[in-house]
Amino acid sequence: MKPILFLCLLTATAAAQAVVEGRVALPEAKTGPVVAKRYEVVTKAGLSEMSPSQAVVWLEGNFAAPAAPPRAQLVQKDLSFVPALLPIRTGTVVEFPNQDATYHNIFSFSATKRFDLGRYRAEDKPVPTQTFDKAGLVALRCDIHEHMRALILVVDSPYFVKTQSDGSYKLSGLPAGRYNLKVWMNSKTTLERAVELKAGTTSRVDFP
Amino acid sequence: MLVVAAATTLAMWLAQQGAEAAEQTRIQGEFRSAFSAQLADRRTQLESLADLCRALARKPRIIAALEEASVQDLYDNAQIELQLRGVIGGNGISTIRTARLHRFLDKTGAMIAPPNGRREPWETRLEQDGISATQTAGYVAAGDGSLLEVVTTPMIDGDTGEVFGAMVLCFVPRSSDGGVWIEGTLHLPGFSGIGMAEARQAIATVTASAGPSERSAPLEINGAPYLLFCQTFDSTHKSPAWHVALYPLAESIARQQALRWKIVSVGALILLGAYVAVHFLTARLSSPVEKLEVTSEVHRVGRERAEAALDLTNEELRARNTELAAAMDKLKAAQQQHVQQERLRALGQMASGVAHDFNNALVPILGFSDLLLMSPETLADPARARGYLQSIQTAASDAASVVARLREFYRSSAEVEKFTPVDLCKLVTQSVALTRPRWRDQALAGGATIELRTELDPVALIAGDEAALREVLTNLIFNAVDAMPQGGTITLRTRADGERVLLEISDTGTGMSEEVRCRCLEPFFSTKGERGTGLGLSMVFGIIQRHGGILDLQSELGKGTTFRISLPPHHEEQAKAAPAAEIQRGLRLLVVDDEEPVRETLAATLAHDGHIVTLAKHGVDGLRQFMAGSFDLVITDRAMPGMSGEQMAATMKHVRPQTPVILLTGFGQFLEKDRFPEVDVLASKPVSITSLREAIVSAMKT
Repeated sequence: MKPILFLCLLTATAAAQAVVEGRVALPEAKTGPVVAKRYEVVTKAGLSEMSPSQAVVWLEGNFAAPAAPPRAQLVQKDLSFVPALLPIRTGTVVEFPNQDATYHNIFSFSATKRFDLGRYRAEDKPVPTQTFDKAGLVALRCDIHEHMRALILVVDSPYFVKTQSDGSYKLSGLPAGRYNLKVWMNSKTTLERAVELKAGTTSRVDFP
Repeated sequence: MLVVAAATTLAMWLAQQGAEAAEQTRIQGEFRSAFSAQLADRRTQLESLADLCRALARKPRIIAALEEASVQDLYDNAQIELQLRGVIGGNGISTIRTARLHRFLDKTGAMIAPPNGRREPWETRLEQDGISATQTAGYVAAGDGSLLEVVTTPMIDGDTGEVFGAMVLCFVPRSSDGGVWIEGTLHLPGFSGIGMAEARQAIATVTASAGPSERSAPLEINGAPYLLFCQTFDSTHKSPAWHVALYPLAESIARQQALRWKIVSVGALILLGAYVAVHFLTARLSSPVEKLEVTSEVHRVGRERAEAALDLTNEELRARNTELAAAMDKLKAAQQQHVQQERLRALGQMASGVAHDFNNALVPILGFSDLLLMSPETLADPARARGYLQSIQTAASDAASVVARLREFYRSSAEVEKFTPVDLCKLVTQSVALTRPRWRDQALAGGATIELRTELDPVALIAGDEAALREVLTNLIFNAVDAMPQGGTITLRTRADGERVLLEISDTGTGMSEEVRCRCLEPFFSTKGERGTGLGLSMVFGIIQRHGGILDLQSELGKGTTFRISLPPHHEEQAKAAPAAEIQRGLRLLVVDDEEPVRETLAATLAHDGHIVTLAKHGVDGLRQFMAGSFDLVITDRAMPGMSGEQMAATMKHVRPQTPVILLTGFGQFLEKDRFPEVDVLASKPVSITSLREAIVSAMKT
């Protein structure tokens, strides 16, 4: 899988910047009875996770609200969601463009964000959007294509990144100070560790 | 007259009985097929319900709600989906069955209570101990005493195949579906009131005993006769469940009675008519006839007597003759049959012998090829690999000669044994190598260590059939191995004994009792039980005899056995210089065979001799290639799908009669060349490189 690096480089208010890098020990690829391997999001006994495994690392703290709401896209393409895992900052407006030649109907029953976009095609304008105001996990599905799944992880931070397939990550442009570095592993597991970031230095934090 | 009357009455009575029985069978059959049709209809209904439920259980909204544990969403969306399909709140027009209740179970099988909280007390019966991964159908008694058809559909995660809940739909049964007997309760639409208790009693009795899954019994309800049909079905309930149907017999019994009266009255009418007619006729005709009869009778009797006397003698003579001829025929047939049986028996014996030999030949083939496959490093050692391959080749050609021996059975008298000079020491070495997988590896695997010693004096050549003698040796070695389950030593010796040559095989095994020793050469005598055919030693004996040899065996219980074989030496005049092998090279060949391995082997062999080989997969392909190119020679398999080898050859001969054709056949030795005018040379499979060369040479000469 092509690792997609989502790094939000906001204009840092602090002059000095810090970097955190390290590696998250990702669980081995599932060897269980996977009926259809093309699904990137799997839910097992109520536990949603990425397959192959992927984690999101973010810095928790009190950060100034952005001047304008950030925007992100979650595309429906080839009867699947791209990306299947989308980390965003709270307040982000997410667009859901349909790039298939068929109808899709995206909905979510998650407590974090309930919505139902109804059926629409690529030609239908404007592209539907949703604003995600609450931090948490949102599970997306398509009512027409039962295999389509995606997860949106809403975090209360501008500093977040998805790990590479080997679990390595790098967060740069971070403000100096004491923070919590958190890792989302799956819908049930989140790891966290206190870090002290010094301007101009690179800290190495491996999980676990 | 009385007799006629009695006969008619009897006939009428029989007819009536027959008609009644037929009527009864017909009614039974009619009801049974009605019942079967009802059950089939019910099954189809259930299948369509099951399909519907499966489709519903896959709806993303329902699955998402269950995964998010959002009860409100779950029941709201289920309500919408069910309404969309007309399963609930339908307009009554659609043919879809109405669901009276829909519920969801969590993965433990416990009920997920609907958000409105209104639950009926009997709903708890829908709960399960864990959800089965397969869809189930059954019945549940609702609170008001009515029966509902329940379809429980597991909800399966598309990614993991995991069951994470179930959807339960309760449908109102159709009145046309007939009755159900479940947990001691009878649900029979359209049947209620006074007869219910009686019906229940009868069904309880009929279904109580063990027996077939479908039963029928006559019973009486309220004094009226009925026919009861029951069939068990798989149910989720603990007590057995039955589909039941009751058919009233009153109507058919009335029909039967009417039929009986009809037959009786027709019979009476016939009797009466016949009586009148007979009376009238006898009165009018009998008197003149009687007079005439008396005079003519006297003459006739005299003549007949004379004729009869003559006829009798003639007849007797003819009968004797026929009898004699028949006896002769019978005798001939019996003799033929006897000969046939004898031949069959011999064939049977030989077939098991062949199987036995074949198995023996397969041991080294399998053993060495296993060795080569399991330890590929062997292949790096060319000398060893070559040794193994040589052993495999020797065993395979032995197997081929076993097949060749079948010929001897057919032409036992016509052909003379082909004996060639044989070096016994070389033969012993070969046999030891061939049997190595058995005496070393298999014995080791079984926990026994077998040492094999050869003490070979250089001896004179003997005249013999090398393959057969190798069989003797392998058989005796195998026997020795079998006789030493705890391990021991096998010793093979050759030495000169005057003019003759002596071959000895001794083991340090269990030995034989006197009785076994006396009988061990008999065919089908075996001490190995299931594992033995009882043919090994008898075959050894046969082969030794064919070679003019003498077999002597000494054995002592617990000490071991020694076989001593004495063979006559080879005399020079028996040897005939084999003509120097002639090899044709550089021919353009068309090879047709439907089996790829055979085809490839032939191609490789022929290419080795420098021929230019074109391959064809079957007869039609062969013809196409033949027409397209030009060939010096065609080699074809005989049995091929579609067009056989000889059919293809005939067509080829028609086009280019000068191109010779070699026909390969597995039955070569049994077939006469004359049967195949369209081919030039008949060669038998499996073909060795030598026989192939010979065939090519002789084909090119024609």
